[in-house]
Amino acid sequence: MTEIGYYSVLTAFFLSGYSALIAFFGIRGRKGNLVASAENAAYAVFGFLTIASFVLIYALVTRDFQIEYVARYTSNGLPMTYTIAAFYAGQKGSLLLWGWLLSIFAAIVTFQNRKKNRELLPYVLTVLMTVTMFFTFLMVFVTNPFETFNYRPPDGQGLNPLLQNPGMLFHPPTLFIGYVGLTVPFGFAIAALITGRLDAVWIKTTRKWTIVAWFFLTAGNMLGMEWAYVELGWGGYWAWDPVENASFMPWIIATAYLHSVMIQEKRGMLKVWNIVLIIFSFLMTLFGTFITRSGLIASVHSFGESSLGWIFLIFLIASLLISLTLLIRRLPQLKSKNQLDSFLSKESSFLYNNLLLVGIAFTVLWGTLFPIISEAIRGVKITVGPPFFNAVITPIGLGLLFLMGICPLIAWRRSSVSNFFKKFFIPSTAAVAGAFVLFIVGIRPFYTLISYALCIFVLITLFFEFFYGTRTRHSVFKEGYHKALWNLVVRNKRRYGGYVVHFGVVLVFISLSANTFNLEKQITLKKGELFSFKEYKIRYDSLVNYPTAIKHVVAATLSIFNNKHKVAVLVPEKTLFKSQEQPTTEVAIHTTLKEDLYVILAGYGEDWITLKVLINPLVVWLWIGGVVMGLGTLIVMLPDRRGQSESKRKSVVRF
Amino acid sequence: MLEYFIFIGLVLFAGCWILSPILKSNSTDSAIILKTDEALGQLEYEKKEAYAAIRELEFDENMGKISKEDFGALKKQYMLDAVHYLKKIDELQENKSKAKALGEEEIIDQIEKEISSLRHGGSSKQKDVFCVQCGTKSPPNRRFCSSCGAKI
Repeated sequence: MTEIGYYSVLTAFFLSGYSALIAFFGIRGRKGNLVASAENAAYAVFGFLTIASFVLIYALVTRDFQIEYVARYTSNGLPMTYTIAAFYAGQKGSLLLWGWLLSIFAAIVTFQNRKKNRELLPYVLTVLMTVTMFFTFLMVFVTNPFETFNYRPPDGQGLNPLLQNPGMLFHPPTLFIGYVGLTVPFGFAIAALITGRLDAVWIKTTRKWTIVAWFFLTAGNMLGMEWAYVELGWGGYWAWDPVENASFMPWIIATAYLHSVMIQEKRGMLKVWNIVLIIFSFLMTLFGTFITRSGLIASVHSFGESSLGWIFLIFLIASLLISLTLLIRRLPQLKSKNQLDSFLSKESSFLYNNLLLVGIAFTVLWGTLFPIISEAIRGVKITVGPPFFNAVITPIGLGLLFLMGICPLIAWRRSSVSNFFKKFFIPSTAAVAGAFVLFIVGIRPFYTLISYALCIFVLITLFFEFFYGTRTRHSVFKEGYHKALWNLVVRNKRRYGGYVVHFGVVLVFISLSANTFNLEKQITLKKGELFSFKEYKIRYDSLVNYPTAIKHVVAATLSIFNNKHKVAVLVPEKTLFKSQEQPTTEVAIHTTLKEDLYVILAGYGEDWITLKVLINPLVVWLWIGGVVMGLGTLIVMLPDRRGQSESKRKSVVRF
Repeated sequence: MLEYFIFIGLVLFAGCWILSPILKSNSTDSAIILKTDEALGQLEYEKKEAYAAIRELEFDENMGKISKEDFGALKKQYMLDAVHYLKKIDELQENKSKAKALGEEEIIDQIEKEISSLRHGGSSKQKDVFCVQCGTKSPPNRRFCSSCGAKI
């Protein structure tokens, strides 16, 4: 059975190579039957990688420990859900998942475009199949997921306890879908560069795929933050770890593209820039894999040093060189249709927004690579930590927040200054007043004050955007207010869905800015003893100590009181997994809309425990903000009725 | 052992399926070249995008975000875009059926009409009006007859 998995990957390797080549020569020689053959091969690649994936899942589920991968990441006592999730717990399985997802996307793209974009599709297929071939190459020649021992161990090593969290079921797959999703716009970008067809159709297709990828990247990053928060036990959710950065950079570049593409649609500007953003968002996904797999930079996500990282680097450089060569060749065709008319226009504010987003991406890249750069130049590996990132990115982030408030106020091309100030007046006054009130209440840190003032500013402009829009529809089209609001959103899903995303971003900013007020205390308690922390009282009730099939658990039971009312019973744990030497902590969190009470069991003795207690204000708004961003993206992604009827009317073109 | 036979069978089947288009002699190679219908579809899409831009612009104007002069200039530009696409669509269609070529004025009328029908969701489509003087058909939002200049 195992060999079938390997041979499936091997077949997929040859077929993806065949498909890439035949699609390319088919369109070059204008031979329709070759292109059709390449398309069939792409479907077959999907079929064989599906077989390979199911063989691995089958081996995991049946706990076939003869397979090295299964023995390394699962064990007899591991719950079934995590056993299946072990599919992507290691490097080899992750590669298989990546390749599989890519083949799924390639099949979808081929199917979607069977009657349209016939000029572009063969090139897109060439790109997607080349990338698939790269991944299958790694599995066939470098690191085979189906490698077997010549004996059968009685039990496996088990899954890393940190990975045994519901986050494991959702965070990696969503992030992978996001990563792989960015390959499709890249494919279309390359196809457009080769054919010179850089028109609206290219934009429409890449935009749709980018928004899907962006949705999954957002969800993946958010889920990762939540996971880190509840599992790693240091009280935070983002540490500027290289792998976090690796998933943040493509996201931020894709964000920049989703904004700047609107300028190209509306005004025919920034064509080169958009292509560069698409290319780099794809390259960033490879780059992330390179830095974590090469062992160059230490990270909590690292799979240890391997030669794989360097192969990624070669592929990355080759992709970069080919893309840039194609781009330079097409430069004369990518002239802007228009010029910037004014500094106070939507175009220019989008341009500033892009500069800031790319600025963030560059800062993160610099900070992530700094250990390598410093080692190369001065011989010492200097790691830059959160202070560097926070110091540079906070002001840029606030600049973005400001633009988020300004942009809806102004129109394309040129906003009239008097009009702008009229609209600017109420939100900015409210923001200043809000900041003043917050200052009086006792919020003093400069950035926090600015951030909250800007949040108020953005919230009010967003509200006005919906309010005036509804009112205008009401008066112009004589619609009732509910219907007007509904139609406002439904008839311009991108604009108003985008505003909903912005609302989510504001909630995220509100939560992030509250970080300055995090409180932390460490205390040792005897049984029955009370400990006061702000308005909370924590009582240590009991300590239990019990073994399970795969771990040994020590759990403290704490009663939490808020103004004399018992509000929760928290049970922070320390667990020692049989397969691991280091104990891990399971934090206990009492969440309210106002703040999180975050309790870590730091140590214990016969009748005492040591607790680390944190009060993190407004954390829950980060997750709510993430959900709102997701909902807004879903609104944007809703199918367009206009588009549907159009595609129905389109006549059939087929070989 | 059975699974190996199934796998080999699958590989053979995939091989035949992949090679079948090449072996078929009756497939037409010219199909790769952009067909008129597909080109039409793309132009239709571009036209719709230009219409959407005009509608958004009008909405911005209604919300007071844009000055009158800019509104006029931008609308004209989007209109010219739409005219460009409509003309191209007409050219392509002329090859198929002998439709009469429209003048720029008539095209702009057509655009205004289509946008206004889009604005009303396409459902409550406004009807054309007829001039009481000369009987010429005009789009619903016209105040004067394009033929004789009389007030409608």
